[in-house]
Amino acid sequence: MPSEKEFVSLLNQHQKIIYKVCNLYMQSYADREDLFQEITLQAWKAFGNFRGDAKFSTWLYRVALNTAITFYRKEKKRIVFSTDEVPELATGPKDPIEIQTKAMYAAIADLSRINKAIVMLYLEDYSYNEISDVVGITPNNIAVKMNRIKVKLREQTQKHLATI
Amino acid sequence: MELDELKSKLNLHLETDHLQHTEADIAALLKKKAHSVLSKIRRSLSFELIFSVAFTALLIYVAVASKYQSLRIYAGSFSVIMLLITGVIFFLLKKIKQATGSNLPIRENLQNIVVLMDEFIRRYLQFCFILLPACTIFSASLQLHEKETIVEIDHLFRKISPPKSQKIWVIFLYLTGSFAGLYYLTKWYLKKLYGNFVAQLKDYIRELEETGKE
Repeated sequence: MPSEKEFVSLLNQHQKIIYKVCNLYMQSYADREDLFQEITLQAWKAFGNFRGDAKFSTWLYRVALNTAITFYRKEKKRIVFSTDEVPELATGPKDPIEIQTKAMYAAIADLSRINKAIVMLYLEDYSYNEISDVVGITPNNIAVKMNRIKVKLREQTQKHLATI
Repeated sequence: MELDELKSKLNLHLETDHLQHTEADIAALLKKKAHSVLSKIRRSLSFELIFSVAFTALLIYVAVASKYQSLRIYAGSFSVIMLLITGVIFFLLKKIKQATGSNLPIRENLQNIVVLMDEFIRRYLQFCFILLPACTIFSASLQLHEKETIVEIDHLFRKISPPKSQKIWVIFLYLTGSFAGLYYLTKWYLKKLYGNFVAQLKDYIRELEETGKE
């Protein structure tokens, strides 16, 4: 029987992972909080199956991404991000790198839920093999997908830059 | 600029845009109710299981205690059917419980959920379509063979009974209307509840599988 205390402590140490997933998949604060709660609950239900042979962070990514991808409520409309909804950066939007980041952030937000998951792990510096373990397709396919995503992001970033 | 060049900035963005939860907050979250579709189906199945067990018990009681032979046969037969239905609900519930506690890769998890949802929808439709005609035909045939008059039912039928010449049409219209109504209502209801969700999940699976084919 897994200990609740142990789980809460581990989750507390790794809660940034859940927040990253929530921020990437949900637009409003309320939705992010709902998804945070859902991921926490699903992780707790699955914690009994965590055997420690994988890193807790990888295990949590898998649970969090599975929950985020299948998170569905009929009253919610499809999430559409725009550059207007991306929070302002501390240094202000005039800095060219910050503007690029803002445009890239908006471009990532436009991706499909599956592609978001791949980008999320890529940003975490996971290897194609590790991403493949989480996503469930071959490392070669991950590489192909990642190349396509990069092209798409480049195009979308240009479009978003025009609107900033 | 490329994705790789903005990695650290993007990571910082994603990491910092939130409020920190304390251990007490996380512990409190564990007491709350899950809202995923599978959790909803699980709750719905748990309710159906309780209802099925209670209804089976009621049917068994009627099968034993009723003074009318037709009611005893009817309740007895349907208690057996209800036992089968209870078994199927229990089996589905067990599979859903296993799926919610698993930690599969994204693709496998999606496939698992789609299989479960399809199974749930298929069984739901099967029960609805088998039970209505079966109940109607079975109860009508038992009614014809009942030696004793069931006063309450007889009274009700006398109240609503149409003229003799129209009886067959009323029965025909009732059966066709009920069956068509049930068919479309159930399909519409299931599609509204889960149809869009399943279609969306199938799109994700297709998206994952397309990579290898292109």
